[in-house]
Amino acid sequence: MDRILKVIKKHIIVYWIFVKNNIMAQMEYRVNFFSGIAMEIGYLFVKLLYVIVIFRSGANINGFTPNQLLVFAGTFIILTGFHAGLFMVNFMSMRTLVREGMLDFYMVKPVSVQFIATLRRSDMGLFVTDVTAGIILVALGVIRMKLSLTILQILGYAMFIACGVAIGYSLFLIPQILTFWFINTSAIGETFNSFWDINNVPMVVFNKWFQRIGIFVIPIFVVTNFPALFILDKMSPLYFAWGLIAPVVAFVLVRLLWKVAIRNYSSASS
Amino acid sequence: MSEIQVRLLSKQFSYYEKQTGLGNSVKNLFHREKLYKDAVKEVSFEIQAGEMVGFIGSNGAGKTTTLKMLSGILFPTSGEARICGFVPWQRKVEFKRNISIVMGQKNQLWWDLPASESFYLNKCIYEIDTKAYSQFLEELAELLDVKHLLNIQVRRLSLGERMKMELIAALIHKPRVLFLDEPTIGLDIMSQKKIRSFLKYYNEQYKSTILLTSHYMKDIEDLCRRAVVISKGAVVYDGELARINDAFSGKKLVRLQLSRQVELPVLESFGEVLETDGYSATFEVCRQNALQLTKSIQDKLPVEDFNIVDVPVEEGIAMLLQKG
Amino acid sequence: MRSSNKYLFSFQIGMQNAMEYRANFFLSILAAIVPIFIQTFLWISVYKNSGNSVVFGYSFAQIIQYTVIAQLVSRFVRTDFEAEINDDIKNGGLNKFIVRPIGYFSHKLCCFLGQKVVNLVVMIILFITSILVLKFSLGVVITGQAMAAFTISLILSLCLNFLIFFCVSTLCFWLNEIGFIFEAVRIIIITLSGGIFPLSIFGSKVVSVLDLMPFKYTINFPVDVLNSQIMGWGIARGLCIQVGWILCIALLANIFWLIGSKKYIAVGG
Repeated sequence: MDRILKVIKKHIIVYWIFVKNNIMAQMEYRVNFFSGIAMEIGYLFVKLLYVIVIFRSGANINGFTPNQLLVFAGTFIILTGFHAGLFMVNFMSMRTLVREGMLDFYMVKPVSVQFIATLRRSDMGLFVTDVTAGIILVALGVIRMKLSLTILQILGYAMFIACGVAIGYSLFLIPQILTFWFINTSAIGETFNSFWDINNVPMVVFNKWFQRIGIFVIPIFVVTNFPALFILDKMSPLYFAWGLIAPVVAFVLVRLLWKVAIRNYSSASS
Repeated sequence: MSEIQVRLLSKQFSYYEKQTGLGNSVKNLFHREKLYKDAVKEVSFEIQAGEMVGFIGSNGAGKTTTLKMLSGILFPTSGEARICGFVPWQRKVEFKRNISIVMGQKNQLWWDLPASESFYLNKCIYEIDTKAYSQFLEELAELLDVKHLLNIQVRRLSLGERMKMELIAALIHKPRVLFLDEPTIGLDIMSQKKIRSFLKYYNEQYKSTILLTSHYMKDIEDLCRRAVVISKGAVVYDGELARINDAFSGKKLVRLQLSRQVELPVLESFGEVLETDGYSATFEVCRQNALQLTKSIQDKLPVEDFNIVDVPVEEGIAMLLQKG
Repeated sequence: MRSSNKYLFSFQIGMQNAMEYRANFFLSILAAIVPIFIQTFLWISVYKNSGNSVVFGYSFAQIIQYTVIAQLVSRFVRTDFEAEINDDIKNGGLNKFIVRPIGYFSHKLCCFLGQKVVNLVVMIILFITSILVLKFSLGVVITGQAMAAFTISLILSLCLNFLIFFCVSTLCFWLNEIGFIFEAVRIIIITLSGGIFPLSIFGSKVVSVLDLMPFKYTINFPVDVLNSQIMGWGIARGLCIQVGWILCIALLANIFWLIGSKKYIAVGG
């Protein structure tokens, strides 16, 4: 137990240095940094199009009011901050990592290879922009509905956000691991990136069967819908339990797949 | 016990071939033929603690693949290896703490940050005590004469300076075993010299075991008493570098300067010609025939100058690789 | 090499690239299905819950047809050479075009068209499949005239989109780092082109501004032609505007490129 804690502590320290180094490296290219943020706002705008469509058509969607849907959209955007700012920047570079042999360096370091390869880079510009915008949208929805939230609700919301982060990480790493078998996986990345956008609309838009698949088989809906369902007090006990189990299952799976991939890399390349 | 033990290490990998042309691209879309290549074939050797050994071979001979297996990056197809008592490809944390690898063509430093940031990252990754870290960093930087460059972004450094930083990054955790893959590639003479003298000093001072590959024979001649020569994946020589020519014992080289051009067929009628440009020529001959040859050459060819020498190490290796 | 031959060669390189990355090729088509899927469900909910049969000026069948065809068109006209151009500018790849008797612009255009010819086969199959599915599920009818006009406008769209993104690529001359910029510019241009939702969701004020920009002529226009949202003289007028924009932006691209390459030569590449 003590040893595990020590290992975790070490990884946290190293992660903090990664973040710091990334910020410093990004500051070297100021133009790029700020235009990146401006562009992320452009992306946000595209995501908001879906909300605009719902608001302008003026209808309740399958029992949810536009204000409630705003909470869903905001939650989605908060998690997009994690997805784009902390994860995808790494996942997308995985293929160059393998091709240019940087992975070799990581494999001789006494920390988890998966940790370095998938979390080394971060883009705090994207992260902060998205998380801030998301929180504003959620707050806007909550205020317009005149909801009063308890501390417990806010903590629960944060916890489901954390679970969503874990599932999002695992779910979107899987296709990137296939990098080890394909020459050029930009299309895989792109395809699965578009799966991220499935949460652009709340899951209530989809029919029952898709909802079940998206919750229990490929838990993509769990990522961004569960925190919103929780704070809107619309969560069933089954969802509650699954919301806590799914991240563990997903993480274990991705861990196993990662090991297979590294094993394959070590056996197949020269 | 030896620090590095390698027994019958082999590595095979598969690849696919693409012929040029559009038609073949279409064919490739549906079917790819798998081909196999033996990158390393039953390589065995042992290295004692504190030894510095040169690992020599032409491009694609399997040096890098071997180093990658020994550092735990690749699994072998068959065979065994022990480094500091560990099996490298089990990738134990303790093993990783004890080794380091430097690849001349790749860099592990953060490109946009000063090298000191990358060192600090390694400090945390290897959990080095703060005091020991700053002391050792200071020492290494002093030795390599890069103290004033520690706070400059890596991308602004010259190739030589960058390589020195790479070395510091690789050594900061005081590894017992160090793998160096072409550490001086592309560097100017001064940087090469500096890095060589550093490695020599480091090896003596800290008794670390070093396995070094290089295309510059000077690196190896200066640093290593022992060499392992590998050709097409197999070891063709393992022993003292100075004695590499024992394989050619009894051979001498005869070098000629000619006053006018002589065609190759004419030269070849006298013996085995290693190289010629018409005005000069090098023959490889048996020791006992050397005098006789020079005599007959002197009589029949327009010789301006000649000398008889032992086969130099570099050419000995070249001959080994050609024949191996 | 005769001059027509070398462009043919560039064209073939494009085709070969498209085939080499076979996994990419099939997967990028899969990527188009996801937004279609999401938006179809969104529209089903919107039409079901709003009670109106016409929303944003489209009937349900029309909006679904728009969603599907717009995705296909935006995939088809999509460019992916920006990073290559950046690489050529930053890492000296341009030098070989300075010494070689082939224009960089023409080389990229031929590569692009070569790639598209490979994609075309799959696109036609997908296109016919989706038209049939739409016909049998929603009773959508497409006239021969609309089909013909669509084909012409699609070819023009392809050229226009190439030119727009070639213009965008010249940014590389001035920016040190590219990062996400091209991706983001792309998504914004696609949005303003009507590649995600029909432009009418923005309301009439925004639409009248967008009418003055070239973007809608890459996606929104051809799709509306196929949809029979635009008919008769409207089509002729639209095609003329497309040609006009192509000429304007071709000029602009050349100007940008000229200014950029002067800077490139000045700093020594």
